[in-house]
Amino acid sequence: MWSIFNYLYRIRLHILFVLYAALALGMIISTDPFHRSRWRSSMVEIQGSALNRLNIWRSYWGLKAANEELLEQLAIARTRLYQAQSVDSSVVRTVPLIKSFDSLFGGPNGNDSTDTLLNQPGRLENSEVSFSHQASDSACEYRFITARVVGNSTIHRHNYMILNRGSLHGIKPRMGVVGPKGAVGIVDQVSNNFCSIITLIHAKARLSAGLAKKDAVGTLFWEGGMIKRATLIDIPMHVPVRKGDTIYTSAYSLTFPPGVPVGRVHNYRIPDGESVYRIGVDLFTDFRSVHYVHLIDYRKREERLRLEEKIATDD
Amino acid sequence: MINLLRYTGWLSILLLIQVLLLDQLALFGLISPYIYVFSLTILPVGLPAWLFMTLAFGYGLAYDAYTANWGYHALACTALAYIRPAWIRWYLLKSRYDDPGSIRLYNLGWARFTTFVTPLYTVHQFCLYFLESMSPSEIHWVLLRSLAGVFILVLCSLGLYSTLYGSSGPSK
Repeated sequence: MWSIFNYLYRIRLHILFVLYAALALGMIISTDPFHRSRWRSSMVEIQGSALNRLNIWRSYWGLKAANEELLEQLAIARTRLYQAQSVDSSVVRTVPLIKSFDSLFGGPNGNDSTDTLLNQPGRLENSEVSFSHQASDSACEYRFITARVVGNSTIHRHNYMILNRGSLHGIKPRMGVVGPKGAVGIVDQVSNNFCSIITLIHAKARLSAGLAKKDAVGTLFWEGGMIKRATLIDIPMHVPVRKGDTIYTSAYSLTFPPGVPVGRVHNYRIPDGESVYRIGVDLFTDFRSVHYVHLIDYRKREERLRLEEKIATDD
Repeated sequence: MINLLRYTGWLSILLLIQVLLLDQLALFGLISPYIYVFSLTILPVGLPAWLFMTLAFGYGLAYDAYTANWGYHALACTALAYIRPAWIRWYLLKSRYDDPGSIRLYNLGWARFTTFVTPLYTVHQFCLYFLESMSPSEIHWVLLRSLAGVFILVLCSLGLYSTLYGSSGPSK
């Protein structure tokens, strides 16, 4: 008996290591399902409060960048104001989101200035991809809520942002988030005053996206590695793809309006034995320097979900 | 007692610097200098292994609590603590020290200090990035990040080492 105790005493360090390692691994694994969700929800509030205070100091040092961003946001507001004034509030208009997003947010190509857009109202009238929009705000299909980024991670496999908007401001899980240059992520957890979002550079983020003017939709995800590079799959090989083509969100998304810019084709190939492309996409959003974002409230989401569920049940 | 306060202070200060400042840095968008690990390497060499491992686990867990990714840093720090006694024994033989208690970090000099900490940092960084990846197929990527992480960490540690022991000699 003593020899057993002696033996255990001699290997006590190994036992301790196995115990601690098992404990840590248990924590890692259990952070995935339900427990992680509940815990994160309460942590978001605490972390958000702390980061909010920290952000006051950081904002001071980033005033120049913040000013530039505010100017861009002002440009968006001015453009929308112009848009609202130029249409009859009772008439449903079709707004070209591809062009408007390119232009409103500074444009992924960088050559659509807002001033140019304001001086050429006709440009808003013609586009192939569009979504329904009414000048009357109450009837708008999509509502945009401005938020400030108070916490951000970009170096992990699972990257999150914390925003200073929560359920008290009308934020709900699964709402889309766009930044000055395009799609940023999807709302995950919501507390009263803060919310966390899964950014596009989160290993589990999936986004329905496709190429402009081509009737092909695929799934965009991040494989890890470079934070500027995502992958788009499921685009059939008969669709012509060129390096530099812009990738937008598709109309199938319940989170984003169609036509929100996501990135640009960096490279593409057809894997052996497959009939779909594997496209490397340079994301427009620089996740390290996003200070302000818009949360998108898709007001017909519930209605569409109910219909889709009914179809699924009928089938 | 004074030593206890001093080491507790170092552990706390470096953890605060890590979470408040260095976590906001992402060098080349890939790695963050996890300088908080330095405070584990400056703990007395003669500290009992089980106590050091418990401290390392708790310390890693404290950092995990901030990042909301439970377990990653706790396990990486525990792995560091696990190999430390074996590494010290090997290092003692190589360096002809008589006993662990006779090693003083301020006597090592920057070159031997680098030799002393590099394997410890390597284990920590490899564990951390491998746990994040959890995929053997990405092992080359994990190794690349680990090497880059160790390089940055050693550079930062040398800066801290020279601040601690560089000009004024041993701080008793």
